Amino acid sequence: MSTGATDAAGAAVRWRTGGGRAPSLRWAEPWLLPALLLGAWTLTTSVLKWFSPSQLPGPAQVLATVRELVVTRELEPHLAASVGRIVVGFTLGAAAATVLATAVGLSRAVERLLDPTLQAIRAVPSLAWVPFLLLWLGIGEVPKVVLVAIGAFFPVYVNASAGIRNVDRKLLEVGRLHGLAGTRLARRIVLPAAAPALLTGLRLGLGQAWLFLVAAELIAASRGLGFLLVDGQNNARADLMVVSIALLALLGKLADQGVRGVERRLLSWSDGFRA
Amino acid sequence: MSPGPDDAGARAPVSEASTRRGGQPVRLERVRKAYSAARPVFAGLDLEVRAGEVVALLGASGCGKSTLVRLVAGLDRPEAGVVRVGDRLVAGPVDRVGLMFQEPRLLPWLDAGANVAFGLREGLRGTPEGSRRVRELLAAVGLPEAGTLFPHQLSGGMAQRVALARALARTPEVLLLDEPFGAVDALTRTGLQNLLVAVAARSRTTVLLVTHDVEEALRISGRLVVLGGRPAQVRLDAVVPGTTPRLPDQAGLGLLRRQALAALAPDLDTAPAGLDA
Repeated sequence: MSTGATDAAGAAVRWRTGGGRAPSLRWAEPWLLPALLLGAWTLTTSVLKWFSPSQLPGPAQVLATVRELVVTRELEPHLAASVGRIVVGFTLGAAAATVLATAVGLSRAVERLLDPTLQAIRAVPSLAWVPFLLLWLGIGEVPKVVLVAIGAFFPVYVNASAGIRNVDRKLLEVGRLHGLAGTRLARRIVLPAAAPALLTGLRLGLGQAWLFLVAAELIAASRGLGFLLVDGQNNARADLMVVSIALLALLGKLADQGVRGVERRLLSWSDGFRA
Repeated sequence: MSPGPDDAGARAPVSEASTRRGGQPVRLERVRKAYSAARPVFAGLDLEVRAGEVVALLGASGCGKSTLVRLVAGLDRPEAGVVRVGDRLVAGPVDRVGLMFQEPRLLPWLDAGANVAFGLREGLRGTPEGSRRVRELLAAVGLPEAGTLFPHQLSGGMAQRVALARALARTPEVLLLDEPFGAVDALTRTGLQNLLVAVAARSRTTVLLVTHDVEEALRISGRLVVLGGRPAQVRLDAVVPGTTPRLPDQAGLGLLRRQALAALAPDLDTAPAGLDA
């Protein structure tokens, strides 16, 4: 029995030192999987020719398409349209969600009044909104921005209101003890204490904003990355489809990194973000 | 933590404000407080703490010591009876009453200095005098270099010292402490007790110190009150003679110590036969 325990301890130590020996290669770890995927893609398309170019074009062909889209400046309006819709829609949705979540989180009465309805609206699938919004708001920019705002709203609302409701009562008491009440208590105690939950909500909301954006652009748009995707489908241009999907992945990742950067700066005080 | 804990007592805050203000008396009259109607914590409790007095409040766990402190701080309201600080009824938290909780309760998103500044009175916040006072207080609790550290970077004892600095920041006329030094090591505790005695003496602050430690009560209080029973009653109310801080072996405390222990735990035989000196 004692031998077994020693072996286990020894294994643990070896395992730990093994992990500590390669910190110089840590930066490469996140790139390992993309590199593998890129390799598999090249291998199956350009080398082994398992897929026809009309089904899945190889990396070289996709790069050529990107170059062409950039040189002819064809990509620009699509990118600008999508990013613009995200910025405006996300800002509106997240701001509305933060305000409502604060009211709901702070007051049981407001919660009883608003929360059941909001939860019901939340249950509506994103695509179900599209025909309705088109009917009411026409086919311009407004329905797309509104759909993105709806997408951003709920993750922010759900996380922020839960975060605010779960603020440590002991810290609220510290605020009361120092003469804070109402909006001053909200600003100086409640919001900072709920900041981690709020930022998680913002990250999730941003992700869902992209989801709703593509839903809108797939169905009713003449510009945007979602439109580029449908356009590729209609014209049997698989390269266009790959480009738009890759751009969606890239932009979504960049946006997420941005929020994480803000998160790291704002939450440097938090235990979980200890460097 | 460069200076030793005993330096803490020597360098008490010396702001003008702290020397000008005097303590206020605290009076509880026929106070009733019940979290469940069947078993009230207090049913007609009377207690008076005179201005500038340092009173140690002892009692078994759950006997209502913390409730009493919360009533005086204005965080809870009695169902009947009145609580007065000075000549005013307590209707909610006020600037001139400071409270230090059992746990530090620092705001985790503020650094230690900002946490202490949080305790300043409205008029001093953000002023040069306010920041000077924060520095003085951090030095007084033995943490002159800790102002920029965040609570998660502080040890439990350090956090509790920052909490004491925050409670002192408003130059309270009544200072309430709810088992404040339970989590700090013995040396630091002695230093903080000395600081408390020095502050109380200098600014004539009224101090109500909740503790379960008879030795702490005998060391720094001028009067010792033991609560017990349900509803809680005053079981012992005795003046502790001599100047503070006292030495543990100071003559004349033996009887008081035994009385306090007996009042704390009347069911226990505090002096087993054959062991009593």
